[in-house]
Amino acid sequence: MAHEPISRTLAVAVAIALVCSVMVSTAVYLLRPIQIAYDLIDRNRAIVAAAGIEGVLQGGDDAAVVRAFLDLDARVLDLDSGEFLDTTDAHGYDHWAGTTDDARLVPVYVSRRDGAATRLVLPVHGRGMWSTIYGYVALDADLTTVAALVIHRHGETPGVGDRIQDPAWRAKWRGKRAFGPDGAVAIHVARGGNGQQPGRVDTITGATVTSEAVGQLVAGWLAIYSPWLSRIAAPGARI
Amino acid sequence: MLRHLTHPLVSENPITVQILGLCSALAVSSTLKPAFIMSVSVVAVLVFSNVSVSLLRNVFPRSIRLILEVTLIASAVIVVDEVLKAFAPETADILTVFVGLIVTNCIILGRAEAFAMHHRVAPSLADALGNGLGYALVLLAVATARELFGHGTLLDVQILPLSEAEGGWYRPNQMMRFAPSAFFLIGLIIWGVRSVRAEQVEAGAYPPASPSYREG
Repeated sequence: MAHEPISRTLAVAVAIALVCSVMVSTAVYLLRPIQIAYDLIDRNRAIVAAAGIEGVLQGGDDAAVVRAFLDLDARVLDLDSGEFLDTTDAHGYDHWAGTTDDARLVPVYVSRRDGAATRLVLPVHGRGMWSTIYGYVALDADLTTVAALVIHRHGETPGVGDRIQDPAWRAKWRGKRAFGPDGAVAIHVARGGNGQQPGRVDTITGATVTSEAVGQLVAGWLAIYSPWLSRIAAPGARI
Repeated sequence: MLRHLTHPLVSENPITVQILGLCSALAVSSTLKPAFIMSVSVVAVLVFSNVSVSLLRNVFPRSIRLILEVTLIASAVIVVDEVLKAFAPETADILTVFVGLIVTNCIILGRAEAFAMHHRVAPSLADALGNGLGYALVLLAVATARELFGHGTLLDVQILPLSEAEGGWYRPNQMMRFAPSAFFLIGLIIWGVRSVRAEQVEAGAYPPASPSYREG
């Protein structure tokens, strides 16, 4: 093998690295706005689905999804005080977008029919098997019955853990009791059992860890929301 | 020249003959659409890497040849991944890490090392297209079978009316929805191809007891 001067080796390495980095950064720079727009619409779609407005989701009409999202009553909830923060535009607020883990302020969404609340959509997130799972859990107007679970974003194993997105599994959450009679969180994901517990959702066969993680994160967040929920569920109070 | 393009389709198919690139073939073949996007991505990366490696083959210092090849391949994969996230986001969500894992797809580095390092640009391009299409052929065949029998659909269009839905007769084969079914299907394809083309059958492993395997 012919001797190669180190200077030449270094020069080629630097040149290739430069060309490649320019190529990658150009692609990222040019495509980022499109990706951000998609992510925004995707989040709107998840919230609208959790709110139970199925009609606009079928046609693939993004404008209709955004309109339905803007029609929801969105509020920023301060978890410390249990009060709404009316100074922030809640439709544009994304507490997951920040780099800091400031989970104190969360956006919540209320769908209404003739002024009366029909569903309350609460954001939830937590650790899955490999990734952080982000989703929305919707409660019926009684604030104890689960109306829907929507997974917004996750990085679980394709074909295995990603079955937490299956409509069939998510449908099992509908009608489950989020809180027991004593006010404690009753919803959980477990395998086996006799199906008698009103808060139990079956694990997904083959995706036990991920589906149990979803159960954990939903239950954990419902426990966080529960003081606020019991306050607004009290007689005389309303959302 | 044409030989470089047609040879890898059946007689030197990267999946069925060289048993390369299996991991992604197992993972992304559950339905046709992601399999198609994955095939296009692999072809794009393969063409880029073979052409650029072939162009630069006399410039590459031998000592850091592999590092430079992987750098080029990885950059191409990042670009493809970003393009998919922007223009085919639903499919990118399904493919997730498997687009990024094209970097480790042995077909790509294998063709760069085995072919592009020693050939001019035009044959390298033909070789990239041939191998990419050979990969696509198997992937699409497996995905067609899996989507048809696992979901009763092709490209999300209902072909076999499901018995669960109104008035159909087909009960989906649950096994086809899971990755192991791709393993069985690829095995059947290899069996089929080698029954017709007996020359592809490998000689037995020489010391009979020693285990041998190839990584995909």
